[in-house]
Amino acid sequence: MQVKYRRLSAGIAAAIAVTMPAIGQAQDEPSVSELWEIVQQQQAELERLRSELDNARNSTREIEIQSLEVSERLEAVADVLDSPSGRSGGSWADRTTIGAYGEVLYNGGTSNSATNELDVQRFVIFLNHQFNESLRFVSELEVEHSYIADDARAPGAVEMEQAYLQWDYSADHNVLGGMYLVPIGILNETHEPITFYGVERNRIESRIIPTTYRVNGFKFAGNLGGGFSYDLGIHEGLFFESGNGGELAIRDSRQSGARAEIDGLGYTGRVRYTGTPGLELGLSLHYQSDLTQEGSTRGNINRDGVIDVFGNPVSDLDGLLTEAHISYQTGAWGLRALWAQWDIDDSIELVANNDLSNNGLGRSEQSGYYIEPSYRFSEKFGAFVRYEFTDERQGADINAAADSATKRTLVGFNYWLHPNAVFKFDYQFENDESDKDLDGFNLGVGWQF
Amino acid sequence: MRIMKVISSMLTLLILSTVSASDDHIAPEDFLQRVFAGAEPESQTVWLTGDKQDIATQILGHKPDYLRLRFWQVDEKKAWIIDEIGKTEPITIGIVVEGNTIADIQVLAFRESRGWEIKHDFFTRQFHGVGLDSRRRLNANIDGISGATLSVRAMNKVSRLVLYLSQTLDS
Repeated sequence: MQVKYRRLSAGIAAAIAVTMPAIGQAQDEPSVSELWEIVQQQQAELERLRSELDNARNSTREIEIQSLEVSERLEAVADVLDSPSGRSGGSWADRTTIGAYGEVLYNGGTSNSATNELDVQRFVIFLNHQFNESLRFVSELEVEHSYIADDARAPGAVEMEQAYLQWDYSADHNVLGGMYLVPIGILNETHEPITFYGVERNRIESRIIPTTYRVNGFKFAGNLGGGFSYDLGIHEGLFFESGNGGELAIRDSRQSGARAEIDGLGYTGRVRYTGTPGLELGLSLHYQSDLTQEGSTRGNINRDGVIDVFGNPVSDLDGLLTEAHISYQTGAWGLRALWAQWDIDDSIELVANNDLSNNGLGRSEQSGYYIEPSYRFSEKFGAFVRYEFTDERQGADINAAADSATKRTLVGFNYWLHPNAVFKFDYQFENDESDKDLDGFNLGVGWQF
Repeated sequence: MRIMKVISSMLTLLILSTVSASDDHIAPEDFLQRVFAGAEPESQTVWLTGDKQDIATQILGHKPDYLRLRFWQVDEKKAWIIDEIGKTEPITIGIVVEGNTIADIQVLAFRESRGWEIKHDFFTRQFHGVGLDSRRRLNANIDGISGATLSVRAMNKVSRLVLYLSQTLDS
C-alpha cells in the first residue's frame, strides 16, 4: 500500500513537470511554488489516511483476537453446561433436590369424622441429597390436616415419612437404613395423588395395610433377573395397647419411628415381577413377632399395656400379614387388584379395653380386597370403578364382629390439568353391615413437583 | 440375641452380594464403544437455540438446563447421551438413532430410589423402531411400569427430544 502512495505522489510530480510550460503561459495559473505546496498538502492528507487505515487494521486485529477469546470462553461455558451434567460430581446445590406433593380434599358425607368437610389432607416436602453415584439420602416431611395446636379444632400433625440413607452396593442391589416405607401393597410406597384413582386411598390400603406405613430399620432390595425383584426388611413393629377402644386397630398401632419400642420386631419380605411392560405382580409377607412389645407399658408416657377381659396382662401376640396384588396397564386400559389378610395369635380375641370390655373380638383375622378397572380416554382424562371389601373383625362371627364388614363401590374420574397436577371426583356407595352407610361424593386436587 | 442373629444374617447376605458386585453405572465411553464397535467418532454438538430451544422446552415440559447437546455420528447412526430428572434425580440415558427411529436405548446411570425397572430390556425393547409422529410424539404406545411413572415419563421425553434433534440435523 505504501508503494502505491509513493507512485501516486511521483505521478502527480511528473504531471506538474509536463504541464509547467503551459502553466507559465497563463498569468492567473498557480505558480510552481503554489503547486508544490498543493502537492505537499496532498502528501500530508495521504499520510493521514494511511495512518487511519493502519489504526483501522489494528482495531480489526484486536476485534478478531477478542472474538476468538469470546468464542473460546463460550465453548468452555457450553462444555460445563453440556448434558449430561454429571450431578454426582457437581456442586452441593446440583446434588441436592427439593420437591413437594400434597392434596386438598372435600368429603361429602363420606367420612366417619364429619358429614361434610374440607381438608388439607397432607402437604409433603422432600429433600434429597446425592453424596455420590451410589450413595444418597432421601427424606420426606409431612404436615397432615393443616393446623397444629393445643386445640380441639387442630387435628394436624407434623411427621417424618421417610429419612434414610440408601447405598447401591452393586449394580442390582442396594441396602438402606433409617426410616422407610414398608414394601407392601401398591400404594404404601407410591401414593402421590397424581399416581392413583380416587380422592381417598382405598380402605384396604388404609385399614388392613396401614398406609402410610413407615418404620425405622434396615432394608435390602435388588433385582433377581428375569423381571423379578426382592425386598427384605427388618424394622420396628406395631404396638398394640388396651386403651379406651380403638387402640387394637392395625392403623392405630403404628409407632411411626417415634421412640419406637423394638422388643417385638417386624420383618417384611416381598417379591415382585415386572418382567412384562405394564404388568406388576407382587407378593408380600409381613411378620410381627410381638404386637404388645412384650407387654410394654412404657410408663414414662403412660402407655397402658395390653390386658385381657379378666385384667391379666397379655404379651407374645404375633401376627402375619399376607398380601398379593396385580397392577396392569395396557394402552388405555388399567387394572389394579389387591388382597391382604392378617392372621394374629388367637389370644387377641380376649383382649380388653382398660374398662375390661372386650375389644379384641374378631381381630385374630382381618382382611380385605379390592378390584379397580380403569380407562384412560386421553392424556388428561381417565375414569375408574372400584369395589372394596374390608373386615377388621373377621375372626369371630358374633356380636360386634358380625357387623364389622364394609363393602364399598366407587365410580369417578381423574382430570390431569398437567402431568403433575390432578383434579379428582368420585361417588361412593357404601353397604356397611352396622348400617352406617356413608354414601356421598368426594372432590380433590393433588399435585407433585 | 434374636436381633443380633437377624442382623448378622443380613450382613452376611450383604457381603456375599458384594463379592459378585459390579459397577452400578455404565460409563459413557463404554456405551459409545459398544455402539460404534470400538471405532468411536469425534463428538459433535447441536446448540439448543431459537426454535430448537422452544421445541425442546415443549417436549421436556421444562426449559432444558443445557445450552447444547453432544452427539456422536457415523453414517446414519447417531448416539446421544442425555440427562433427565425422573422424580428428583437425573437419569442418564444413552440413545442410538438410526434413520428416523430409535435403534437402541439404555439407562447408563439411575439415581432415583425407586423406578429402576426402566433399566431392563423388557422395558427398553418397546422403544426399538419407534419414531415421531407429526405432533412430535412417539408413534408407538409404550406400556409403563407400576410405581415408575416418572422414570418412564423421563425416558419418553428424552426419546422424543433426540428423535426431533436428529431430524433437524438430517434436514
